[in-house]
Amino acid sequence: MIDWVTNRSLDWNWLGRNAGMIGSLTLEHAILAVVPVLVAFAVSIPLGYLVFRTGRAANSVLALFGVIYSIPSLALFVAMPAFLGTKILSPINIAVALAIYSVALLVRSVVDGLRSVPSSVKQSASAVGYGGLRRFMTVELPLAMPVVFAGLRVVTVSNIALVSVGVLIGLGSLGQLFDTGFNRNFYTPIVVGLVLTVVLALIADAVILLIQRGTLPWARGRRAA
Amino acid sequence: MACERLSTDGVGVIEFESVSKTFRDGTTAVVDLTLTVPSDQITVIVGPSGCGKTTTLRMINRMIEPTSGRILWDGTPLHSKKKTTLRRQMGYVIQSGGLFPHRTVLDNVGTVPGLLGWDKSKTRQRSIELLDSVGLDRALADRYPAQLSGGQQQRVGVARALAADPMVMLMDEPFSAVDPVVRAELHEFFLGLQRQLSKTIVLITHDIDEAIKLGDQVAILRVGGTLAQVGTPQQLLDEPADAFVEGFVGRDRGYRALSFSSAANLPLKRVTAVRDPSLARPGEPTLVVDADARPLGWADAERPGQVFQLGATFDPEQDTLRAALDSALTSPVGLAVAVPTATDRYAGVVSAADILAQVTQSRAALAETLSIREVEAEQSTSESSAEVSSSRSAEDDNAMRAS
Repeated sequence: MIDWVTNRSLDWNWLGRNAGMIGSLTLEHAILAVVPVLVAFAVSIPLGYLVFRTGRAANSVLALFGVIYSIPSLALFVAMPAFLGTKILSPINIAVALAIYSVALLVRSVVDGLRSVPSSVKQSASAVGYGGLRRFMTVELPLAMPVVFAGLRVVTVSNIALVSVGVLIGLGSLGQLFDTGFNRNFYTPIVVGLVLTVVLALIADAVILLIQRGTLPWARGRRAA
Repeated sequence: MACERLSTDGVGVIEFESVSKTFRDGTTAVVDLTLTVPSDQITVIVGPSGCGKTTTLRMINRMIEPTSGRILWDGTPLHSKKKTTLRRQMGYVIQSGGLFPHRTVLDNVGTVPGLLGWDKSKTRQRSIELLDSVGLDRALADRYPAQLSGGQQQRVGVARALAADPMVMLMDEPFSAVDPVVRAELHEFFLGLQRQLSKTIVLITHDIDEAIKLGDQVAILRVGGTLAQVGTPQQLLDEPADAFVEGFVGRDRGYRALSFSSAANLPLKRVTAVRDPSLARPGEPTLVVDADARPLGWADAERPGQVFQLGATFDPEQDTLRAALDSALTSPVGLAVAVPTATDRYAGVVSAADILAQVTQSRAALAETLSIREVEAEQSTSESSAEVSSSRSAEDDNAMRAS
């Protein structure tokens, strides 16, 4: 057990032999983490709008979403087949569970974002003749986006970390490298898994930041609340 | 009188008929308001906070619906029009412009044309024209509102309101978020623009000075939402209807009324003018001027060779009696120095006493014109009734001949 801790040099041979496997695990990891974010994004905008519209009740609803996020991930992964009727090893279990976590976080961001839109801007939009839906789509939503993007970054990085847990119910991801390393008292895959997870998180974060810069040029140099 | 002809044509007359508004929480904002907003003029609604002026303005574009009474636009009740259609026909300006932070200056200006479905290049062209007419550099077109100064934002707000060439402009405290210097600048710009465009404008403010400066007609509301008085600025200053209006227009209303009289007819006197302050003769005020006859200051009688500050000067061709009096009061020798901007040379001086004499004279003249106007008004009504009766009799004659 102590063996792999003291043996700190990387086995480059192993790395070379398994490059293909590591690559496909990384890709799988990325897909499992990002697809739920995209789904959650699409769900959270209308859901967040509805929660926002409830006014004072919004805080209670958001507290409920907070409780969802506090469910342990392993428990949720294991419970999924019971709800979805999927096989225990299906990647859909993880994707859906992560989407639920993502929605729980993103809805709050959407609500916070919509709340951050100055009422003077909303009023002047109505006063120049915007109808309700148009005002939401072209004024309120764009102005809420800096806060939503901040939420997206948190959610994406959090998903990338959570996907690894999926290995405990037998799913391929970079988590498998940890599994391999622990089982064989072999240091190299653990380090590779760790580094790749961090790199993946950094890249995802940078990509979102770039998209934000590109789509919200007006918000540059401002603090996203 | 072009104004009168237009206003009878009815392009942008707004009439409040016994309008009241009570909110759901029981607050009464406006009570039984009857007010006509004439076409092509600036109507300022002014009053302390809680007087219902914002509610009044928002009822015009149906942001708020009255509880009772009705509002007509050129004779048509507002509630018969679709809200969004109505709003797109009325320009709306609020404090700091209420600009969309996520759109460029040009896109902000083109908002209403965009909503109306104008062609993109036409909208763009119109927006660029408007930047010119509100005095903004075209280089600002692609900036975002946050990159502009308060005064520039306010101008963009006005340009946006004008974009679809509305007949009516509603302005909610449009100039209160900027500092006094910029505000004065915006006032001049706004009045200049109105001289060219002649829109029906309803502007609200809590600042009576602003109301008097900008309004053709000023309506004063009191707390609780009732109309205290409506009239021209001069009427409000000369004949406040009650103690509230008198208190609201302020104790120095007599002084402020001087803003409506030109300094052009003030009798200018000459004083000794020297170039070298040491040549000043003691015992009389001596003005020190430079080689181009520009006044520099007053020679100090106590300390030969020294110069007092000049104080404010006034331009007899452009300034008002208020500026002239202020100049006399700030002068160290009690004499206002007239310096026409056109020549930039010393033209003469006038004492505070002479200015007050002029005020007395013009007030007497005002009283006279008012009484003449009343007499004329009586005559014209009797004349027109005479015309009607004569045309009647002509018709009767024709009828008789036909039979």
